[in-house]
Amino acid sequence: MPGRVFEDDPSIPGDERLLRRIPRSWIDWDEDGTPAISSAAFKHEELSVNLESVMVRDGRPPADAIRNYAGHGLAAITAAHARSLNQAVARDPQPEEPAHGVVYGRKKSGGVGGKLRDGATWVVTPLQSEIG
Amino acid sequence: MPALGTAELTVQERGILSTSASAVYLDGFSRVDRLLVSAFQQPVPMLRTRKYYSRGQAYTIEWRDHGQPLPAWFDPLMQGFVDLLTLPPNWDSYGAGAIDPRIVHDAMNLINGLLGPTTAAPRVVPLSSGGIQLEWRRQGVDLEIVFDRNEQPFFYYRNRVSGDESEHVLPESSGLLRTIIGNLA
Repeated sequence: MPGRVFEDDPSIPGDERLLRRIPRSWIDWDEDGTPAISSAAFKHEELSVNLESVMVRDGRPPADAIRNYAGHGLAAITAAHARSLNQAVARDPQPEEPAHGVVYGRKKSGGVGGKLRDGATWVVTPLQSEIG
Repeated sequence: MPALGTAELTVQERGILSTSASAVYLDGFSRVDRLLVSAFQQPVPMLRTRKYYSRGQAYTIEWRDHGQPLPAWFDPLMQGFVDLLTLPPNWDSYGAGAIDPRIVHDAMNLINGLLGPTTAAPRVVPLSSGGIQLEWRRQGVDLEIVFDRNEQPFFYYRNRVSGDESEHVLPESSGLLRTIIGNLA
C-alpha cells in the first residue's frame, strides 16, 4: 500500500526483534558458503517485518514467518537499530499476518539500507543447497 | 523457447547495448593491437550473440565487436540481468512486482561503459520497488549503483575502514565511479 505514512510506535520496545524474510535474490554466499544479505533487502521505504513479540504472544515460533516460503532465510534487526537510522517502527497487523509491522522511512540514499543490513542477524540461516 | 527471451530484449535494446559494448571493446582493441594491424587491414566489426537461460526462459544478447575475448565480468553480469527479468511476481514475498525491463536496459547501457577488462563483476540484485542495484563488497569498500523508477541513477560509496561515505548522481559522476570501480579490481 504505497503512500501510507507511519508514525513511530513507542509501545514497541527497542529490543523488539523485527523479522524480515530474505529471498535468494538478496543472498550472496562467500567462498565458505556463508550467506551475506544485500542492502537491497532493507531499502523499501515501507519495509515489511514481523514483530517477534506478537508472534510469541500468538504461540508462533519466529520460523513460522517463512513457513510458506521455501528457500527463504529469516533475518532480524532490532527496533532500536532501525530508530537509530531515523526510521519509524510501527505495528501494521494484517488479516493474514497479525504480527505484521513496518519500518518506515527513506532508505535508498545515505546508505541507510546497508546500515540496517549491518545490524541484521540470521534467525533462520538459509542453506545454499536448499535454495532452488 | 528463445522467443520468450528475445521478446523481452528488443532489437532496440540490443542495439544500444551493442553500441556501448563496441565502444569499450574498440578502445581496448585499438590500444592493444594498434601496432599489429596496418592501415590497410582495419578490423571489421562482427555480430556476436550469446544466450543466457533463467527460470526456463532464454535470452539472446547481440552486440558488435572484433571477436576479442570477453572480459570475466561479462557472463556473470549478463546472467544477473537476465535473472532479474525472469523474476516472478511477488518474488520478495512482500508483494514486489516485476523488474522494469527499461531499468535493466538503462543499467546495461551505463555499466557497460564503466567496466574495464579486469574489473570484478558486480552482483546484480533487484529492489522491491521494481528497480535494480549493482553492488560490490570488496577490500573494505561498499559500492552500490541504484537504478530506480522515476529517479536519477546514483551510486553510494562507503569505505568501511576509513568511514568515508558519499553519494553521487549519474551519469554526471561517471568519471569518479569509473575510478572507484577500477580500484576494486
